[in-house]
Amino acid sequence: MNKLIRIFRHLMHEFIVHLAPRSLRKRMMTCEEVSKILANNDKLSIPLIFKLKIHLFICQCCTDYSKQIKTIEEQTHKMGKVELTPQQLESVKNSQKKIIDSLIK
Amino acid sequence: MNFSSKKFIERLKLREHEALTLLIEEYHQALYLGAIKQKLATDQAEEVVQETWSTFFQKVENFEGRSHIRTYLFGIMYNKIKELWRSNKKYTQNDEAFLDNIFDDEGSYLSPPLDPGQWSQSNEFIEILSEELEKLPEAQRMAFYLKEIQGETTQDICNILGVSNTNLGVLIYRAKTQLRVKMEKRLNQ
Repeated sequence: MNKLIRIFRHLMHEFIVHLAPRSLRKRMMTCEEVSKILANNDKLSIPLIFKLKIHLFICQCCTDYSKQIKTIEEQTHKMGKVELTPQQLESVKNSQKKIIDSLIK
Repeated sequence: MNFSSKKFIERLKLREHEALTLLIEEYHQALYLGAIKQKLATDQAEEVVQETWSTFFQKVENFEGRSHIRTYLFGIMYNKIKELWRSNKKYTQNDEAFLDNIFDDEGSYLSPPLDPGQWSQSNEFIEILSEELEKLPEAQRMAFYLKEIQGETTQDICNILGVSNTNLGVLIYRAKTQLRVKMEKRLNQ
C-alpha cells in the first residue's frame, strides 16, 4: 500500500511538473522552494501554507526530504541536552571564583 | 535583575566590581555549558570561557546595548570557538559544489531524497551526525549549532554571527542539505 502511494505521488508530481498547463505549474511551489522553507521552518502566510501542503501531498521527494530534516533536527536536539557532570560543575565554580578574584587585583 | 538596563551597563562600563561579579555569576556556567555543547573538551571549554570574559572586560566600554548583554557575551564566545576550530587540524575544507547540482532547471530533484525510515534507530546515527557536523563550513556549522542545539532565536543568531536574516536562512539551508545528503550516503549504503 505504502509503495503504491509512493508511486502515485511520483506520477502526480511528474504530471504536474512536465504536463500540466503552465498557468497551473506557475501556481505550484517547486521542490527547491519547498526544501528551503522546510529547512528553515519559516513562518508562512496562510496561502503559502496551503501551497506547501498541496506540494507535500503530491510530492514524495519533498515528503522524504521533510522526514530526513525532521530526523536530523530531532537527533541534534537530543545532542544538545547536555548536563554538566559533578566534576565539571566543580571546575566551573572554581574558574568562576578565579575570574571574580582577578577582578579585585 | 535586568542585565541589559542602561543603568547596569553604565555600572559595567565603570567596572564596578559588584556589577561585574553579578554578571559573571549569572552567565559563567551558561557560557561553559554552551562551549561544552559545541563538543569542546572540558579544558578547552574552560579556556574559551576565560578568554571570553577577558575580551569582554576589554571591550565592555564599547558595548552600546543594542543587543542583550547575553547575546553580546555569547557572540564573543562563539568567535573564540571559531578561532579554535580554525586552529584545529581536524577542520578540513568542505567541498560544497554538489549543493548546486541537487535540482534541475525546473526546481525538481535530480536525485530524489530517500525515505529516512530507520535512520534514528541506527546505533551509528548520532556518531555519524556529529562527524558530519564537524565537517561543515565554519559559518554553517555555527549557525546550525546556534539554531538547533543552543536554541537561540533567529534575531540573536543574526546578531551573534553578524549576518542578515536572509543570509542566515541560506546558511541553515546549506548546512541541513549537506547533512542530509551525507547522512543519506552513509546510512543508506
